[in-house]
Amino acid sequence: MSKYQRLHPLVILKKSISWSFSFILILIFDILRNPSNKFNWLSSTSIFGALIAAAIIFNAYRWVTFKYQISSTTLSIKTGIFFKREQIIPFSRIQSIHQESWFLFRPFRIIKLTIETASSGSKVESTILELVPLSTYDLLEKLRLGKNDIIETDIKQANEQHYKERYSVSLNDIIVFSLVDFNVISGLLGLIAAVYHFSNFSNKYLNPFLNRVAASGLFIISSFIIIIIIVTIFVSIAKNIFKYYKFKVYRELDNIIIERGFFTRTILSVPIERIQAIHTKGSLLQILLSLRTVELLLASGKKSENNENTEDTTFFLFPIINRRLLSTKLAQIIPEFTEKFNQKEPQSFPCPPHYFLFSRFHFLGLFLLIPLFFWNSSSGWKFLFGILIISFTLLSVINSIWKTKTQSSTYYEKGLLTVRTVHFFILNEYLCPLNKIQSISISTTPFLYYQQLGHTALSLKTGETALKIKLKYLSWPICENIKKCCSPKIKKYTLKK
Amino acid sequence: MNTYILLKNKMPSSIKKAWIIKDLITFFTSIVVIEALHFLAKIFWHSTWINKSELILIIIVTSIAVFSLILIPYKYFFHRYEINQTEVAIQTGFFFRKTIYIPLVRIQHIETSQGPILRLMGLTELSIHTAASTHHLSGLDIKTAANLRTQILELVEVIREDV
Repeated sequence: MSKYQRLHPLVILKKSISWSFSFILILIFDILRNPSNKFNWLSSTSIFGALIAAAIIFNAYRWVTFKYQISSTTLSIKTGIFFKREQIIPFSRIQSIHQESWFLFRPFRIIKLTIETASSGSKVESTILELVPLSTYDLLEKLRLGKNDIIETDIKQANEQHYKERYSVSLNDIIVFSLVDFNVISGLLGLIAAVYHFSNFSNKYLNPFLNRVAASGLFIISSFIIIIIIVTIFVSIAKNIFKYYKFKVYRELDNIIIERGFFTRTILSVPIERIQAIHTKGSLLQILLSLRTVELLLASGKKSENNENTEDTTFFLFPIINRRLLSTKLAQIIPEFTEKFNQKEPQSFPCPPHYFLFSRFHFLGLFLLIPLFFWNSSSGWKFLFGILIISFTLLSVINSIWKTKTQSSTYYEKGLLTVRTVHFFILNEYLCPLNKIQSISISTTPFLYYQQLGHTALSLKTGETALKIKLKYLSWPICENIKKCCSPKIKKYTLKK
Repeated sequence: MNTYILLKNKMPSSIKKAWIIKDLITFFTSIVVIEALHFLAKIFWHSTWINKSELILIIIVTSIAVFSLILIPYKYFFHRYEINQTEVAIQTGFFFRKTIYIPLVRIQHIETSQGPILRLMGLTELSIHTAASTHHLSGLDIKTAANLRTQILELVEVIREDV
């Protein structure tokens, strides 16, 4: 394809509709200001019409000026009339490609493509081709994978081999995932906060109602709360079902392809060499059920437009998976990572537990008991706060003990480092290719150095922020050893003075 | 007790002067700002708290300035760097000791910047950008900075890797 092309014309319609949705809110507010006045109705609807017309004109202008071209090695995009901008993206620099198909446009075989590159610093550059025919995606993928010189029949054979579905999520799994996920709890807290906020505003109206509720007994209150809990659980299940409906992961040559979604079907393809790390998470509940969540850490984080899904910075590889299945599934999908595990003598860095060093600062919380002692209040409140402080300290101490017990790191030759840490009662395991570790820092204090101890932190690029993986209170030689292992080996290079 | 291993290179000693000048400038500007605020506050409000808060602020600012001036030799002694075949190492602090190692291969780009104070001393500040983070090496003489630049460019020729 050598000529510059425009997007599909339906993009004008889609964009204008999504704009007018946001205008409708303004319209409703405007009408509610003075609903009985007929002139007000007329004027606000005419303003609304004008806004829609402006949106259509603007989007048409955008459609006319936005052109793209796919050559054998690059994707170039031209925009603007007055301020012309041409953007050229070499295929080798693409971090990931998202393909989203809205269910209304699926019969037309039209999709939305988001192409991401990692630019320097903290920014993530993403290019959006709003609506293009599906064939564009196929062409792009074909060129990007370097298949253009392979004969057609070979491609078909290759496809049949690699399109085999490797991991998929059933409805059951999604339900378990949403129950185990912290989303339920955080959603509940959010709801409670919202209700609390609301009750402050309309104290007048709510108080009589609450009194009536209280009068009719605790039973109703508790049933009310239970209903709220059940509703939130169902909402989060429904949300996850729509989001992870028919979740599929498979390999295609050097790419991992992840498909998901009900209304908007999203297909994400990530080149293997662009994976910064693989992150396995297990919260307490998940560990009890021997389940894990696996995420891909990428240098690009998908910027969500219109704030539709703000959680899209996490790329789940397996939203939920049994711990025993994990290693085999990983081996099927990313053999590049797992085949390094089979080495005879991986170098594991011993991290002996330091119970006191880890938990010492958490005991400082107990000092909060002193002002409580002098506080003049009824003993009931005192007792409650005392219990709260003590239990909080205990929890953080237990967390730190768990942290020091589980902390470990292993180095595999040919460039792979595994790190296992605990953070807020969540067990994290990272598989990092060594060539993705951006910098290493070792820190200590005179007191710790006297005992030959230090902390090590590895920094990786994930999305718009850097991820720091910290290993604490390691012995000094091990800190230096980790550093030595992680630093890249360069052959045949001598420093010029 | 094992002695803590310090890196080879100190900053050029003229950086001390630059730090002193910087500290003094921040001290005087903050004094001026406090006085101006005091003047304005006296016009619009009448409270005994204005004088008291002015005194407290001045004490805080002076103590900060004095401390940072006292700590300059300490900061100079422990602020070190080293550039070898494979990496740049930056070391800071005595009580909270930290050494950052940045592999030369991972460096995305280097930025040199020179404010008026550093220009007076003939120094440049070097910012080393990796894909994930930015590290500052305040005050290198121009020759070292140029050397580092060429060295990294050479390494980029040797190894081509990407995020």
